[in-house]
Amino acid sequence: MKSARRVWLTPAYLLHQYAYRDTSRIAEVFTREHGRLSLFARGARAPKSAFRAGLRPFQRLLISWVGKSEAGQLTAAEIEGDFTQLPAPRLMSGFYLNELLLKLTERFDPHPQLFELYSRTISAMTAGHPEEAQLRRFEKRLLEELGYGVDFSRTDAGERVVPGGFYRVRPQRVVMRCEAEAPEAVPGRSLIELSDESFENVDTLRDAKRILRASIEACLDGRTLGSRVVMKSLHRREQA
Amino acid sequence: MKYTPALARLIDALRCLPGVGPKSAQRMAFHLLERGRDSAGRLGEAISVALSDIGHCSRCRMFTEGDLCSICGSAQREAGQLCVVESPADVVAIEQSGGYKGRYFVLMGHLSPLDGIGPEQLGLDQFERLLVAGEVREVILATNPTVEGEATAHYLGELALKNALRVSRIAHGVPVGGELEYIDGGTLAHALAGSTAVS
Repeated sequence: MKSARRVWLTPAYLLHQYAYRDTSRIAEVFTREHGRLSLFARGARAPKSAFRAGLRPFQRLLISWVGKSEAGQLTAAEIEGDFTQLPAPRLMSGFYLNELLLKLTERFDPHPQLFELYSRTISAMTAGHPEEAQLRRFEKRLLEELGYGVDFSRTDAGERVVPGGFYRVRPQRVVMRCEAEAPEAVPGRSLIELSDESFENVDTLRDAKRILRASIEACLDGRTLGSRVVMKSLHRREQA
Repeated sequence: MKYTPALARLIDALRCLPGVGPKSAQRMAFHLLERGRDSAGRLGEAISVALSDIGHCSRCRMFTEGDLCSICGSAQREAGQLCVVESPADVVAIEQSGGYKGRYFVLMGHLSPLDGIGPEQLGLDQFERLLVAGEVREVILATNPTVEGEATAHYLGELALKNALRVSRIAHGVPVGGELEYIDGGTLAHALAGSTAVS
């Protein structure tokens, strides 16, 4: 993949972009076939740039570029399929998904399934499906795709998780049975529903959020998620 | 070739300007020293005066040399209308259009979670104080139509609604003199969604 000199119209999403020089941008893109990479979008900020309308986060694109590995030049960015606009109240969650991909995937490491999952998640959030469930499903499968998946239906001793039991969950794949009163004890029912990706229950959603967040925290290895910091700060103000 | 220390410092300092790389910085430095010594002196003085005298307007965060900027200080401006923009350049652009008579609030950026830019950096405490103070009746959200600009507008809109103010978002659509055939789908979708009745 690294030696590709010219790539034609391959499915991609723009994750983030930075201003570069007077009129250009550096685009962080997530492609289905080539994974995540950075591309120069020359003149992307110029008034008449062809990239101006197309190169937007949360829009499924077909992009072309030339150049080896790092610092390829974006040559085309077209909208693939329908024009997508994530509703304003959901943009923060969208930024969060983008940051997860930026910080947890390696450059030039293709994850076609993760790409399609991201695409489906964005579509579902655009269509107005319950946001929390979409985010939890994405986090769970992202961890699985990165090799940090946990089988929440069994304890580490191989015992089946039962709905009435209580369990302690560690970020790196350890589930063990504990007393209901134990600190941070998770009901078995939540674990089974998390394992089945059935997120209709409020308690399950809350437990899943805590469990998955701890796992993601472990993968981040001390780095912070800017989107989470900003979201918290906005939330605090809304409550005030 | 090795630059003398003062020259190296000048070239390095010039590189802080947008779009100026090592080569342009060197050309500028040589120009200032060879042919533009007078203007270089004026430039140096202007920069130091600007740095010591120019601050932010205590009401709208626009650049100003006093406590209030000329717009906030003017009795001619409508105090009940507040237009929120991302940058001082946006204020200049709207002023040039000549159609707006209210006041501004300049965010000096937009919410950009991935760059760690949140409400604190945008002076939202100050914005909320303005809303609570009671003079403002209407908020016009004129952040850019980018995803970050939309996220910012959404959040500011919620704040204004919480304070029971009238809120509007600037329209996006077909540019004056534009041709539909060459307009991207996104802009057209916005233009159609925001079409107005003909009377």
